[in-house]
Amino acid sequence: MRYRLRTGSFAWLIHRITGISLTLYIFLHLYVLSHLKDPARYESIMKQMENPIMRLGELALLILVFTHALNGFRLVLIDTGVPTRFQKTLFGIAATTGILIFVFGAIHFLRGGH
Amino acid sequence: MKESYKGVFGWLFQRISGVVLLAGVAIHFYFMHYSGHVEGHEQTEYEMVIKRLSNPYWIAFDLVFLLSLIYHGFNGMWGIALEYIKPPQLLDFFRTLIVGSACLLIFVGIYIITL
Repeated sequence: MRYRLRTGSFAWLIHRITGISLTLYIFLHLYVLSHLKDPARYESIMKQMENPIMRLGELALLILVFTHALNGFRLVLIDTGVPTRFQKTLFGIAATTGILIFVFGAIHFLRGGH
Repeated sequence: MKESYKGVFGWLFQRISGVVLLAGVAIHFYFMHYSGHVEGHEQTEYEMVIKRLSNPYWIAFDLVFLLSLIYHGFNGMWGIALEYIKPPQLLDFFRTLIVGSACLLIFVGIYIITL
């Protein structure tokens, strides 16, 4: 199968890749949280997160989540019957909201948040 | 006939869980990763998380969030598997892997929420 890459099919491909990545991330997230039973171990894992690579990872995760969420919301609107002539506008709105969340999140991480 | 009916059910629930997750992830990020950090410098990460996990409203929220997430993620994986994997035995293997992973994560998730 060959796919032509236009706005719509590009969004479709991105949706699929981010979806698979996020599903795999659930394993890591719940694995870390399963250490909550042992406070000392949990704190030591949290300490290990304090490095630039993990910071970038957190930012990457934020991007994955909101790319998938906003594009997914756009898909739901289209499925619910929003006329197709608004498709590109919707993509624009989703992209703008995504960039705003990214900037907001990046500032939060730079200030030392998680 | 039965298969196409199941297809519609899966399609609809993928969208419903998706909308639940959009609201859920916004709430989750705001309260778990944003507001707590700004207000709660005196508390450790551990205390902050444990305090939230002892609140019944957060437990209810987390359960709905967890189940929607696992359903949405693994139903999506199953959809992709159906599309790309043709040999029936390999598809069966993936079905087992997907259902098994989902069950394991629900189990671990409930264990964490009810700590």
